[in-house]
Amino acid sequence: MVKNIVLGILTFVALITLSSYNKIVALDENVDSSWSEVQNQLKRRYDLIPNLVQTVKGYAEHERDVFSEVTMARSMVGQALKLDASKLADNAALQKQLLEASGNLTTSLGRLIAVAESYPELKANENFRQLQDELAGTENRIAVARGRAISMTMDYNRSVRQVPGVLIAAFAGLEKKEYYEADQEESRVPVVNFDSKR
Amino acid sequence: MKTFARAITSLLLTVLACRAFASDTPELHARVNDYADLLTEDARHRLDETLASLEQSTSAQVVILTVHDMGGLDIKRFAMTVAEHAKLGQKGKDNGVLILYAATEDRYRIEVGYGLEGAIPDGKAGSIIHEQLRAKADPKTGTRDFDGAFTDAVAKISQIVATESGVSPTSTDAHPPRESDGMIIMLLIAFVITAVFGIMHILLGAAVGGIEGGLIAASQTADQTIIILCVIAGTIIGALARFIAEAMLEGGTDGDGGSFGGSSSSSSFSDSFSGGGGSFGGGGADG
Repeated sequence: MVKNIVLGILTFVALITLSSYNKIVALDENVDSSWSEVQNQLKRRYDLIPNLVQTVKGYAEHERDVFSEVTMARSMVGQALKLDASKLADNAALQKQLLEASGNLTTSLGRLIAVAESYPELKANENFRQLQDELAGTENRIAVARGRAISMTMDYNRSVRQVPGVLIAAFAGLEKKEYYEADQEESRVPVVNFDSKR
Repeated sequence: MKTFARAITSLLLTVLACRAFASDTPELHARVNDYADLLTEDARHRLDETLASLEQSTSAQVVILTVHDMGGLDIKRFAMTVAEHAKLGQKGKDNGVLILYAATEDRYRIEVGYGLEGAIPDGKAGSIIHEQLRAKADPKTGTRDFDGAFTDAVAKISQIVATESGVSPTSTDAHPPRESDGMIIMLLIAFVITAVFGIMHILLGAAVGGIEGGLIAASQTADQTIIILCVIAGTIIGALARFIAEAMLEGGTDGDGGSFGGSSSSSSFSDSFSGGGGSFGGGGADG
């Protein structure tokens, strides 16, 4: 009888360990793939820009400053895109670099749109309007992807800090992943209310 | 004693298999959620029927939500939170769409699920807002035909989705699994599993019974960890129950561990709407 109980407990421990390890590995993979997704969306915006710039140039050729600003900001993001997603996943400094490059591009694109909207013919142009929507959509996708990457990182960190993961992680040499704090805002779920009335 | 052990097993397994979390985000209970009270009763019913039949023929879940205001939230975050929480669209296909209007902010947003981003790119979503929604309901300019606006928008989206799926929007030769079919299949599977395990009980005893209980309980959640934990817990509990029973009843018992643990159903039989598990990536447009 004692032998049976001991066997039972050992099996229990073994199974828990295995499933815990697997879960940690799965979450680790999630973090990497979620940063890869951030880069996908950045690339999407990156690819969208030449068309947008050309369209605006067609009506507002003289606004050279804003065009060169966008081009420069875009090439900075291009650099960040060459990074390996798994390197990005564990490096707050690289994430900060990416976030800042992306933010600069967002700002300069904002200026481009503002300039464009001061040209009524351009503003009324259907193609331009669609590009505006695409740009806004891409910015949103980037924000969503960033929020998810942080959220996945938090899940992973939780799994290597809680019991039993913490023991297994220590044994397997897996550590918490760092992330750049400023991105946390995007990962927080806002409080939504259908019935609020002002 | 047998019954008691079985009852404890059921209870513990049910508890383990329970879904955790309450969430702050409210549920969407219908396809047309008119919290801002902008649509007529008649329009609500017609829209609901159109959207229900769209889901039937294409499996896409298109849902309308109007609110008085968004409490200071940005419309993109508001729409994403709602759509993600409701899990509009079928899991794997991600063919959900949320059509949102916030009255105080006077803003529309069409949130498009991953799977429909090809058929409804951001530019097209923006066009629908301009050409179908704001064309008829644009409070700034004095027009307030929300019935007409949403009807046109739904018609346009239905047409796009139907074309994408290769069916006609009102077709009823539908193939996406309906909830009632799913339930029958689940019951049949459960019956077969029970029968198989019943036989195994006799042959192999308590541990198997524990595994069975754990699996059935845990099949209510898709979480791998929960399934594994439940199986283990079921095994342990089943084994323990047997030891206790053996100790209490001289002469021992055989294969009395395990039973249906947690038979709560997570989906309903009725026609009420619930999300299919789809997800969103931030695509769509607002205006």
